[in-house]
Amino acid sequence: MPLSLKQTAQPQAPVQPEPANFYEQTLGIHARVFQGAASDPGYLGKDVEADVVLLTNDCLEACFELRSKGISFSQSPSYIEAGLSAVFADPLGRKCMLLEKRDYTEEEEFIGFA
Amino acid sequence: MITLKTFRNRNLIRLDSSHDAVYTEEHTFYTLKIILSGTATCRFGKRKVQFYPDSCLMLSPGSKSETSINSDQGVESVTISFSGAFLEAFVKRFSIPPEHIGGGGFSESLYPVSSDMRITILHLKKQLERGTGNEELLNEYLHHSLFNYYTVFRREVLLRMEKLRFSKATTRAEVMKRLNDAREYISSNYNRNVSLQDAADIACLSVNHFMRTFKDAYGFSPHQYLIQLRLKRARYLLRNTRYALNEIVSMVGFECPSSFIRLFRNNFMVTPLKYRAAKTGVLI
Repeated sequence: MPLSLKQTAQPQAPVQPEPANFYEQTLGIHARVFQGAASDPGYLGKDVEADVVLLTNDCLEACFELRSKGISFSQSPSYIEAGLSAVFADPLGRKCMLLEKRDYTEEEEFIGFA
Repeated sequence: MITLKTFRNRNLIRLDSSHDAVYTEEHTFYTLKIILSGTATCRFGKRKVQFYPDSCLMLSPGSKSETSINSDQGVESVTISFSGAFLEAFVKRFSIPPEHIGGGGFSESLYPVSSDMRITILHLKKQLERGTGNEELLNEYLHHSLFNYYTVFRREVLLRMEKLRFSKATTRAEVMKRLNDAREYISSNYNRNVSLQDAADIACLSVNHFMRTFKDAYGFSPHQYLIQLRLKRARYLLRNTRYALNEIVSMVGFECPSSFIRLFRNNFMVTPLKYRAAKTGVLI
């Protein structure tokens, strides 16, 4: 389940030990990558609002694996404008969004036609 | 090649990949069929539809279907059967009114595929090919496929039905069902000479009544709808196959390349060959 970190509200702030363990051991993301993360999630879609956005290629699979590691989701995989997303909180209570970006530009082609 | 997976909860998935095949199936449950590439013919009940990757087919419990594939392009299809209990849990979870299920709800017809449905099914296929045996995870994909289908059904039938100008809900539902049958007929015969009279006959409506209500529901006249469908399928063939332009023109039912090129350009603001070059990098 490769996850990539895309955004944190405080990119420069050092990650506290406990969340660092959480990010490294539970999510498999090295705390170092926080330093380079962008601080504005807006470019991912106007309905993407979270302290931390984690991109995945398959939201259902990632969500399933995180659940098996004991993470409980406050929002199960749901469809938003940017794609498929699910929400959970990290140990500091920050809102983490799992996001599978989807391209809907071809969607228009199919509406009303079959 | 066929991959079959039966779940403990009696859901069923079948992946097919073939150039040349005919197979019949009996469906115990509501069954969703989708083609990922190529084209196939599908018979069910008394109907025969031409099946493209832009559409999905929902079949009712107790129905039989015969799928024929004969194509130089490989044809990949996915068939998912949702068990009664699985469907019941789904309906309960989203508080879907019973009349949206039984009476014409998940009724047998071709519907457009949404990007979400295609992506969910591609992920599911990938999991099966990888040998994922975890049914809990696979059922998640099935749940989402059903949700994606219901979203399309709501948009294509329930919301369009509201646009019909009849005061009685039962009349709206009946006319929408007939319009849907006619739309399916146009869609399956889109590359032949489809007459307005034939389409109106399928809908059991007079030509004038058919034209007016069709436009209310779909926002296009039946003729405009047919032209749009031909253009969209031509565009799909330009992007996904190597057929020459003249071949595509006759495959989608246009008689004359120059009128096709003019319509294509007016609709998509680009000529067919420029479109193909931009999408595939191939200059022909």
